[in-house]
Amino acid sequence: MHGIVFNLATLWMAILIGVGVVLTLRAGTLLVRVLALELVTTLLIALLALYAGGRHSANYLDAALMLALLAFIGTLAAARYHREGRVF
Amino acid sequence: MAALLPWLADVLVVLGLVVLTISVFGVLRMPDLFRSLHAASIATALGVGPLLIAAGIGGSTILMRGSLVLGFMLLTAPVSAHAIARAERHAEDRAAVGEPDPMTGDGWAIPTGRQGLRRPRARR
Repeated sequence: MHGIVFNLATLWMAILIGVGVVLTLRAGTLLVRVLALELVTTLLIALLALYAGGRHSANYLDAALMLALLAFIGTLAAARYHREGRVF
Repeated sequence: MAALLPWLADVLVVLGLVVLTISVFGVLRMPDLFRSLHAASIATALGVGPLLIAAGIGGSTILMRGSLVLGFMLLTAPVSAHAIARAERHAEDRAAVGEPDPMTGDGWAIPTGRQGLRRPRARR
């Protein structure tokens, strides 16, 4: 991709992540907060994919994979704790 | 043909950003958890997917690893969305019956005083 598109897209992703963090902090209930946090993690994965394309490096995608794994485990644990009062 | 590939990457990046913006705006605007869950689930496949494909145009290594990330996210996103929806549905049922909420109200399970420090009841 071209440099100007990469710069503008990074800026826009930063704005989106800021909105997501505000959503997480201002959430009314626990589950909305879990959902907003998962959305922030998805946005971070998208930012890392953008960097992998802009910098021509596959190393960013390792971090993206780890982030996806941690978001999945965290969301599942929080949702199960909310439903059953315990995780396992 | 090869000269068109950076422009294709630009188009895919813009597409992914538009979908991600719609998703964040949906979570911001929707009044209900189920509806905002619907908006948030769009971001995974349609938002991250074009960005990963646009990154994968740069090289085959990035493409392979990006498809790994995308496959993992496509597998796990419905599971976590289903877990959130199930927890919300169960909380609604619990509130309809009139059972006390084990999460001490509707927010975080922050220990407030003596009662909040008790362990929440285990339920099946």
